[in-house]
Amino acid sequence: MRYTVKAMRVLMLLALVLTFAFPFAWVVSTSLKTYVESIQFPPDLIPHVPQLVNYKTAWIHIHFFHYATNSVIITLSVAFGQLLVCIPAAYAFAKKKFRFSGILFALVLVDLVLPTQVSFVPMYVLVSDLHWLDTYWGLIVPFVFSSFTIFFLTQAFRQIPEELLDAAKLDQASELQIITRLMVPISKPFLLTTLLFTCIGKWNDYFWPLVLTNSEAVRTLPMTVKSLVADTRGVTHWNEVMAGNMMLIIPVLVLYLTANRFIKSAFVYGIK
Amino acid sequence: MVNKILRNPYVLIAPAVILVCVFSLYPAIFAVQVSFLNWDTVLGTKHFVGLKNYINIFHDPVFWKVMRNTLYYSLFTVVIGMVLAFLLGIFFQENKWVDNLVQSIIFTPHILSSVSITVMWMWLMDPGRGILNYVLHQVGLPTLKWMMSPDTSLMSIIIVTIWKGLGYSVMIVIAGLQSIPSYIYEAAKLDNAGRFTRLFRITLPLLSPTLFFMFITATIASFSSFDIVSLMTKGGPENSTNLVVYWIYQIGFLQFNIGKASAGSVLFMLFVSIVAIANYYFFAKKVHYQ
Repeated sequence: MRYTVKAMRVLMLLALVLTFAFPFAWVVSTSLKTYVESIQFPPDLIPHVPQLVNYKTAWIHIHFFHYATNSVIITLSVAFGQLLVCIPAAYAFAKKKFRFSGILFALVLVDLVLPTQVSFVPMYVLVSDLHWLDTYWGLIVPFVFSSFTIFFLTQAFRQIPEELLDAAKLDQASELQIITRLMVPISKPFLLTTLLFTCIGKWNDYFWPLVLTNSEAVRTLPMTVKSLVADTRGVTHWNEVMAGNMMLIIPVLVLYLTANRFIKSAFVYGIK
Repeated sequence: MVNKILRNPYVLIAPAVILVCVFSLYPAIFAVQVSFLNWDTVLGTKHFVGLKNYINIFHDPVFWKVMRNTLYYSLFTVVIGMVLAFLLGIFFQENKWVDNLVQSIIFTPHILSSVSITVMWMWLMDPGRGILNYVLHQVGLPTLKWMMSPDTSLMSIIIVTIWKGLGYSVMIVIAGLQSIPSYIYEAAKLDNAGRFTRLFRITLPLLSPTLFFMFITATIASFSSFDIVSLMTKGGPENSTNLVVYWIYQIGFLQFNIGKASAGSVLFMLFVSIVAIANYYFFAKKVHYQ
């Protein structure tokens, strides 16, 4: 019995590594091949001579600098905007008693159960009426609010003992000081977590930039990487596509690997 | 002065409440309103047409195909995804370095852009030069046309969806397993309960709230799927992979029929709410809370 379970574990392990790690290995390998090598049958796993030039070609084709700048601007603005909007709101919901707080909190959380995909048509009309299509505004302002961030931070702030707040008030700390010197430092792990969630989500976002933009001006990195697949030459150069793909993957992967355990526990905590 | 303003809780929550009203509630209500209009975005004319958009949708054969696709897609991604996640969670929960490594590897697709994932799979599933067909050929099986044929296209996007989401579900299962107190297992061992008894009498019932949560969120997420369809197949071939959100997108943004698209959104909103409520009532009775 014990051995059957052990054997099953090993088999599952191998199957998993094959199905999950191999595709990534194949992306890296393809990104380093010549075009001829990339379509050759039977395929070689290891490129003959690693072609770093693919990265240079992809960099130029996807106008990496332009689109990466857009992605960074939008990602960071949304992330910091969310903290600016959500920290005070979460603080009020967690630590203050006021009329209608229950109803207002429920109102804020409605968004959690309503998939954003249901209202993208009216959202487009709204952003268009505001003359925000193809501007940073359109891609940033509607997303500065997040039910999830407010919910998550409210939970975190509730864990901070009232005695600390009372002590701060006795020392005549102002509200701003209570938020910036007490609430924020104590809940730093939670704040960093939400920051990570938002950054990863926005960096990867494909749906909203597709819906809310018509021109290249403020489009983001995922859209341009996708455009490599069937480019104007009519043939897909998979080696260059994979090099471009790596440029989209690497920033998130670096973030993930440096904060690996932290992100995982955060994802798990976040859904509880 | 500033301090006095900030002491007012309504000031603190105002930006959040205003934003949720403008960018979340208003669009949802606006969708209902627009669904009764014939709105020509090219000419800029609008006039009231009552339920005509809804009637059009119900007479549209593509709509019924899309609904069927969406149900198949949801059923397979949710059920297979949850069964695999449960099995993997049970097998890899012990926090040894191997288990950690496995968790990290299978979690990675979850944090990557759907563009990265789909571009990768379009290459793996390329009918001519893809490695999957090469492997099939090597082991003597017939090769497939994957996304290119209506027979296998829905299966292809189901595979990619499960692959992308599995790591996340495994993580939730593991979190759920870790919240089951170990003394229950120890007591069961003292009573000579076997591995399978423990699995079916302790683990499964005590994990049911977690599984219930996963089921609801995974079902709603699968109904809301857009990226993979849009990126890999554009709903084709022959609408074989067209799912509800992508279909709404097609009507609104490729056929410029804002009224009909909004009616689709409203139906979709109703559908999601009904599923959520039905799930809740059906499962709430069978779920054990500690």
